[in-house]
Amino acid sequence: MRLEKMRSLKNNKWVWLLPVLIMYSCSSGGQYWRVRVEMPRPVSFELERFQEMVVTDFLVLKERSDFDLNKETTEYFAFEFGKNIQIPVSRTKIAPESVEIFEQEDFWTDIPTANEDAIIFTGTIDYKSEVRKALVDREKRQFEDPFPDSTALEERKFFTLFFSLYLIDSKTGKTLYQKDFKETRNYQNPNQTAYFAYFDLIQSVKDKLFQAFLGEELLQERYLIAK
Amino acid sequence: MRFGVEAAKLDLWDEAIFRWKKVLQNDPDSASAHNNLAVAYEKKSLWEEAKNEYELALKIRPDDKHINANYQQFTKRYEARKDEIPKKQ
Repeated sequence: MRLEKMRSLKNNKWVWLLPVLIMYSCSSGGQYWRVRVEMPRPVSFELERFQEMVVTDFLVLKERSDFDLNKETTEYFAFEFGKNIQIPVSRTKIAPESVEIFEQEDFWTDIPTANEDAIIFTGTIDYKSEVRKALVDREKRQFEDPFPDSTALEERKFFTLFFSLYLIDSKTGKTLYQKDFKETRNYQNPNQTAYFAYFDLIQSVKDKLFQAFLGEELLQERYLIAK
Repeated sequence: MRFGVEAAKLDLWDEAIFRWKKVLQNDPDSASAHNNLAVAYEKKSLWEEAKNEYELALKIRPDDKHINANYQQFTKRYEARKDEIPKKQ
């Protein structure tokens, strides 16, 4: 079968046109070349210009009884950044009492760090869960049904994570970067626990932070001009 | 110019930059060289340099659809994040 195809190709007098057509499709009049390039994304903040990252405790706006929100958050980010950035990442315990703390430069300059030029990773966190009725599409039926497909109200468990990040210069105590995140996810499973949902949400925050700080590459098309 | 393009296609962007800079030494008004350099600078994360080169290329050849396409793609990515880029105080 394959040989027959090859033979028929060989006998085709227009076969010599193939490479020409391929070449032509790669260029445009022989002057322009479309190339696919792995382009780095611009980073929002260069963490690695510092000598160290210090992950401190977060201000938890409302404590939960089922798990320690601050402990899980700080351990998660210390571990994830430790794996993915080239500078050392350490943990320091603090006791933030209110959001005004982020404006108090002395408080942050007093935090002991192993390196002189460190960036402090801190912020506030809040986490809420609730059961809500959501308008959902009914699944398409496989058999003939006199009732048309429609939407219906169903119960869903909603979890929302509010995460405010502050990156503070350990030398000056000034906030160099601040960003708020609000991540929401709903689950059909009525038994979904807040603890497991939290990890889905904190991972979304982490993915956004990594995009902003680590400048992952993205495949892009560009034209190079050869004339 | 073609040496630079061939080098870029082989992912040898430093070599490509060297070639296109040489082209510009002889012909500073080469829109193609400015465009290609901009692409190379993008690849090297030199955003301001890339922007500058695209703007020079478009000044010389404002109606070139390929340069415009590159520049649009570049600005889409760059402008969206530029506001987020805080300077170290």
